Amino acid sequence: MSLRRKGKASLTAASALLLTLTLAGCGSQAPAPSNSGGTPSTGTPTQPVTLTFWNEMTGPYETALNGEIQQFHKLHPNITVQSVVVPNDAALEPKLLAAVVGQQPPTLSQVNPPWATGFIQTGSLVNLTPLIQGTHGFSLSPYYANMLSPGKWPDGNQYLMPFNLGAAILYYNKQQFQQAGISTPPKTWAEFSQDAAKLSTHGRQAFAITLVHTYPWLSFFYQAGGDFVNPKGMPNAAAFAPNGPGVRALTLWSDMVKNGSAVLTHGYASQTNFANGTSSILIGTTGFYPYLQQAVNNKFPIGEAALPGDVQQATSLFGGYLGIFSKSTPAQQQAAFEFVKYLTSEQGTLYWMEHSEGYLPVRTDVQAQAQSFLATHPAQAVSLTVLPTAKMAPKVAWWDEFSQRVLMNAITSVLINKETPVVAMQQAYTQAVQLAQKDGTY
Amino acid sequence: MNTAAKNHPIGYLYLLPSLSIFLAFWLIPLAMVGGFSFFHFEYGLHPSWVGLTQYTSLFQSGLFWQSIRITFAFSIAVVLGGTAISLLFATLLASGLKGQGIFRSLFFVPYVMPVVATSAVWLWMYQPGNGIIDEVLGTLGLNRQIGWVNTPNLALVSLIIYTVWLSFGFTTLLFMAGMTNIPKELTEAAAVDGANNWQGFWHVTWPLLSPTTFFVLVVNLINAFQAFTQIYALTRGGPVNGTTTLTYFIYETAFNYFHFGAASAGAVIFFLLIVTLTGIQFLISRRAVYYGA
Amino acid sequence: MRKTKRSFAYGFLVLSALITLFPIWWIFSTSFETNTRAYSFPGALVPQFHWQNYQTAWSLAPWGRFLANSVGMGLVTTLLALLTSLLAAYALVFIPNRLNKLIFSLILATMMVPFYSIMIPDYLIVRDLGWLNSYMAQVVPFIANGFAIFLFVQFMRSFPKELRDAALMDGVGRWGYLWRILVPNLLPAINTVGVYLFLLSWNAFLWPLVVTNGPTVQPIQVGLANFLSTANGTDWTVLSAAAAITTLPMLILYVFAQRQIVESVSRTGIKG
Repeated sequence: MSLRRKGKASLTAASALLLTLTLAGCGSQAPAPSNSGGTPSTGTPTQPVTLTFWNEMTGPYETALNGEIQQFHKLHPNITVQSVVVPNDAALEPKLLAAVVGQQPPTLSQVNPPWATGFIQTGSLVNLTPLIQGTHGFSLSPYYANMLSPGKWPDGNQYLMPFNLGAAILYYNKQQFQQAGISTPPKTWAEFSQDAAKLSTHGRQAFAITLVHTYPWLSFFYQAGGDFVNPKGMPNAAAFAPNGPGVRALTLWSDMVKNGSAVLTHGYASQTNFANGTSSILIGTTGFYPYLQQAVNNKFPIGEAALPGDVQQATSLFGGYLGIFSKSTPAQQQAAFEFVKYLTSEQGTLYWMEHSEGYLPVRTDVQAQAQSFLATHPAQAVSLTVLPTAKMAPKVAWWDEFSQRVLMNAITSVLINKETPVVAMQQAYTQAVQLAQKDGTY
Repeated sequence: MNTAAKNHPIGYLYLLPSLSIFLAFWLIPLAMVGGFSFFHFEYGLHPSWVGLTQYTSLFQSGLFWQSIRITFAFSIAVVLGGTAISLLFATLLASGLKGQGIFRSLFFVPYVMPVVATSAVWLWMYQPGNGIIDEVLGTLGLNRQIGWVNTPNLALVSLIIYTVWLSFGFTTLLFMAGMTNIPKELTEAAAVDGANNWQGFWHVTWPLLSPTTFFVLVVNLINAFQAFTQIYALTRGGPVNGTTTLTYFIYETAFNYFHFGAASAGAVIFFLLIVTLTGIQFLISRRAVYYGA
Repeated sequence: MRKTKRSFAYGFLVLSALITLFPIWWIFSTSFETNTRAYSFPGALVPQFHWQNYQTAWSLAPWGRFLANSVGMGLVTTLLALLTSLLAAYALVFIPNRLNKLIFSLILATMMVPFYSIMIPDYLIVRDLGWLNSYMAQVVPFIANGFAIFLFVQFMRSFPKELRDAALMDGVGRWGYLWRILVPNLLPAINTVGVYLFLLSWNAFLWPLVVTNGPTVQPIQVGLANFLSTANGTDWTVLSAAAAITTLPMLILYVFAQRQIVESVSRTGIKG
């Protein structure tokens, strides 16, 4: 009986091994090329091509993007754009990682510059410069330089094109400002904290801080003249210094929290606070506007203004870029390039700004054509005036982990009074250096 | 036993469907993760052999150890709290109250709601100052500026409360299913013998319920160790990493920062840890769980 | 004495139910709100029956398709997983040898693996099987479940051995014993596990997101997530309406399943 049992056991083991081997065999197979469409030399392909476009255009933005795709299909009947919408960065990141490991990336995707650094190193992204300079290329000169540069790497090549970007501006409750006797929105840091103090009462803080991302705080850091990355792509020690811009910007916010004129909120709760009158000042991108307008619903007039200035006027840019993945066929790459060209063209940009109601044009030559839209959409109008002073987050490979983990923790621990600004910045510097050594720069 | 031995060939056929799925989609991938943990990947590509380096750098990372501490604090609270509360409700409901079915359904409702939706409501309830919890505290004349999700320790407490709220209906159901297995005659006999409710529970229900209790403990522990969606939706591991459990740490390392090899090493450690713990639970259960004659 | 105890118990239960249900009440009442009153206290405590949000939410996504996908995949996954788990547990309980002990611990081990930690290898396997962007990828890996096997093993172990011997002696056979005696007696457990398995499939989010590329095969959680987190903010009222739309079928299904569970417990409750 025991013999029989052993026999059966080894049979089971053998079949398990067989299955393992079969699967391992599958695993080592090269992935089948998904499509072969020939290599057209013209801008418009002669044969039908389908390209997949992964993006984060959810809710109202999806409608606007579908409009863009329809326009594009009219111009290029041979190209089909399949849009795949995912909710946010946190969802796009795992999806992209799995796809890149599995060699099944989309043709075109929304990409943040810091991820692109890694994708470029592994040869996953297409260099756009030869295409831009080629016969069916386009001129880069009409684009806003500060939007274009995060997509350009130190080797001089353009890998990403700007697409859905907004600039941080100040939203304020006009009614409450009037009641408090404040006639104009704050222009300096001093005015900013004085106004917030005037608007606050016991248990009601005027400035609701949103910290889903670090960009609202980075605006203040830039205003204090800061830059976290030095020309070599390493952490810039001066930015973290005890009397440097980081400490100054942290001190401004933490003093406001301590004297009861600012409060740290969670997620996008600051928008709700603003809409129901619990707070009077909100810092966010142009993209906040449709949500605020809907939530406030004409209960009070919403004011929009440039952020206050310190050493200089500055704000931060926030949003996504477009990158083409090299796994796709040449025909698909060509088609994706045509689509990128369309999206960032005058026509595409204008449509995008007017229909998304949240994003800015990426080129300078459409503002004149959009006067009637800008007259009724003050958030975009204000954003366009501050655009020349707007900065995108750096694109070094260590930036994402630094921004989301290290910097976010530093800001939060100061605001909840766990750490002083000086110590928080010192610790952040040590960790930044470690990250830069681990992850590399460009 | 004799008949059982003769049944082997067919017995293994019964196991085949589950085993092949486990092998293909769980065990082989797990082995692959073990392999990946010795390689460094650049954004998922270009693997290079690094030996144990990724393990040693994990052990040197303060955040890694902190995430283990947080995992334990969170799990112990959720397991003990969740088990105690569901045992209480199951006992109350199984004591023959009218409408027990209705209550059981009501308690179960949070478990069927989409986490993305309920976590959004809880976030609002936790808002400092004007969230409903602080509003209620304020009405009672207490401090009403509590940063429920804004300070590291309280954020963990908030997460624990949410998790227990989410799942106690399900474990109550498990306890009640276990209680229906206890013959009514036994509890009735105890009552006839003059035992009060508490004595009846302690001497009859509790020992007979011990397989279920053990089961609920194991399930709660595994769920707590693997808790992810609520952390992702409520706190994103913050503030100041105060709710970064080991699972969240691994997730973030792999999918937000693309350190795929390091995350694999973390996953291996996580797996060994949870296997050890569950093993200990099983050893204890041999002594403490009553499986009947 | 007994009466006061009873009313105390009722009071406690009612209070607990109120506290438990408050957040859910809030989702439903917010879904009927105008934006102005949403998420302000006591704003949405009493709903306004503003149906507009439902129209908006309904028009923004193919909810019917998402629902059909989720319900379909949930049912198939649940039924197949119940089947494989019952068979496996039966073999494990009634052939208690060393090999099966090893197999049982392997199965328990799978229960402890957080799925997303093996997500990338699984992605590779699913890719090689040609299952990307399909129902198969979302169903097949989950038609075996360690938890279900574990629970069935627990229940089958507590089932009296004498009954089995008697049945086998009557010539029912192993197969017949499983389906005609064991399964009917295990119905309460099967119902519980079924609900668990269905919800597991229903709540799956990250994996479907990674392996699918469009609403034709995507489940409702993925559709819902697109509402929650846009890059710039959230329209809470419409989100709540979408959440309500997605939850209602679950609640209705549960009310039915609940009746089944209660009935099967009272009818076939296992007697020692």
